[in-house]
Amino acid sequence: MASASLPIAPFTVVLGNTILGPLSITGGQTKFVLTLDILNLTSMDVLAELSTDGGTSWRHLVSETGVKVGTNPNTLQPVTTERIEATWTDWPGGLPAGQVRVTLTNSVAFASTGGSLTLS
Amino acid sequence: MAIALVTGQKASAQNTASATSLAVSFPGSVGAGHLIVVKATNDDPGTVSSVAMTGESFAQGVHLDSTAFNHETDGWYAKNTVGGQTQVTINYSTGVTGRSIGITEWSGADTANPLNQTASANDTGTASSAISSPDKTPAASGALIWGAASTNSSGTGAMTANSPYTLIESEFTCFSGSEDQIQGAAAAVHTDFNTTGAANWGVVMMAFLPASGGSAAPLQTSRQTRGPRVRFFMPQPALTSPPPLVPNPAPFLIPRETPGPRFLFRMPKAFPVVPGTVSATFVASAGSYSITGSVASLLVQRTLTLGTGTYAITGDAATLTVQRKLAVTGGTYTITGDTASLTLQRLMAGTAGAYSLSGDATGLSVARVISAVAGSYTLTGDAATLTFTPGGGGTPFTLSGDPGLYGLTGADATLIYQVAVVKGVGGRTLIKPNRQRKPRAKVVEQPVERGPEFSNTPFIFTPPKPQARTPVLPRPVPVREPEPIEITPEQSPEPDRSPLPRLPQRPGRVTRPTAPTWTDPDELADDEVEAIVVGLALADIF
Repeated sequence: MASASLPIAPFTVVLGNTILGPLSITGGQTKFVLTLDILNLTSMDVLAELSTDGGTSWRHLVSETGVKVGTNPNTLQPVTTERIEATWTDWPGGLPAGQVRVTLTNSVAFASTGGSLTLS
Repeated sequence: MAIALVTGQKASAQNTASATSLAVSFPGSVGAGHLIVVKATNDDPGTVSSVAMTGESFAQGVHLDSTAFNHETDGWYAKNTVGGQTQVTINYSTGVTGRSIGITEWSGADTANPLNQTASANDTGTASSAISSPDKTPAASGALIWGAASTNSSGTGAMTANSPYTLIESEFTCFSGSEDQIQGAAAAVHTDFNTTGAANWGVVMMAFLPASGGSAAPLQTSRQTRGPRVRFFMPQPALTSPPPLVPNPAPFLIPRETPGPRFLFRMPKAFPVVPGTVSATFVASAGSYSITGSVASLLVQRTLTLGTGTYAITGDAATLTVQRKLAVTGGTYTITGDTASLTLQRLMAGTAGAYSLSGDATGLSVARVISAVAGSYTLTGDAATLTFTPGGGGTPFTLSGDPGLYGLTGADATLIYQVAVVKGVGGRTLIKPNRQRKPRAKVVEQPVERGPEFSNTPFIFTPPKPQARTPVLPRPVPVREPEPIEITPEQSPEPDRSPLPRLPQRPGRVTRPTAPTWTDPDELADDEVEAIVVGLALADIF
């Protein structure tokens, strides 16, 4: 099983939808990690999907809504990095070969220093 | 029925950023009549307002507020699932950090009131043995004891489960985890995590009861996609050892993965019949299937019709009668774990890919048909006393044949079970195909290298002539709206031991061969060859 990674260079997350990827995977991966700088974020939704038919259809992997810069109640520090992980340790054979994409649905355009998308 | 984790059906996700929801999907669609258990955690000040999955209803089973580290730990569950979906979503009352979700799917749980006990505690026990409190005793044996924990930090390492628990998942992002055990005899119990290095922890527990009724419990069979109603009629005669050749005319309607015409299967005389219930779970989505959890004294028929992907079938136990069909176009397929006293029929038809079957043990009666035009096929691990041992004794063998001869490729293919009984005594290895398909295949015989059981004898099956290659497929019929699966073993008719009538053969139908028989290889002449069509499908008989 080979890891697949997509570096995300600094960019502007525009109003509306921004698609990161798709990232091709050879199959067998069990962990998804997306990191993205959200220091200037107002609010957005994140949706990660998998396609095994060349991008014709997509199935949900992991998602969240109303992402914003929050404050950790213990450290009292702002959380300015979006780091979403998902794991399927028992997926028979791991994720199938295909493509993974992440859709950002953003309410206010903002500049991000980037991050990465990794399947391992 | 024992509670069991549906193979492959667990997933988790976590994020430290603030958001109002977090969702993750199972590898495959949830089955019907199952239990979904959800770990949900988050930082203060919000709480979990709901857990959602299309078609399912979730309830909060346990909630713990860990004020020492401003964190919440919840256990939610959905009972008696409708099935068919993959995505579970946690919704929070407000944007919160430190979110995590861990989901598992279980079969065999009570469908009416599965949640029987709950407990929770902060900083109880020690960091290396962080426990829920107080101990609770489930009302019945065989309960699923599920636990979750959160800590203020991961300390020196990942959270682990203390014996006898099995860790479901744990993570460093939000410092949470979940675990489970299936309890034997009912007894006082708490959940127990190793959170070494953490200064504070919160631990919760939920105990779920198994379904009652033992072997008389209703069948629970899930389907992946919308399709016709499925009805099982369980046969009545009992299996003895060695398996007798008991006629079984009881009809079977087989669940399928995609909509299409109904199939009627009649069990041939070639297969012993086992009373009891069926516990088979189909979990599927695009490209991923897993089947698990069949237990003793079952009669199971399985059909998988799919495209590409990865498929695993595991965990069959003793005294099963299993029929399987895999019709595929590519991918990797693995079948493992069959044990003694099985009567197993496997059928694989593909155009490419890699297939492996392994782990069959002694006392099996195995019939396998593989037709393919390309790819790599390996069967290993078959042990002694098999009725049909292609290649035998763990020796891989390859069949390169004509897909039309067996007519088993493609979605909604008519299922024709063929049992090839091969006799290898006297240095001859012969195979005779389905008599209903003309012309018969040409068989190239090769000398047996060792013994009358030709345990290391490869054989080559040569395709028939082209005109014989067109499979006889059922005439498509309109797909009906899906209805709940009806499984009524108590309505099973008494076996009709009279000979099955010959059915008219016409386009669009498959006719069962005349008087299917099972021939014990030991009763065959040395060079005798027998092939039996042991099942048939009629597309529109219902």
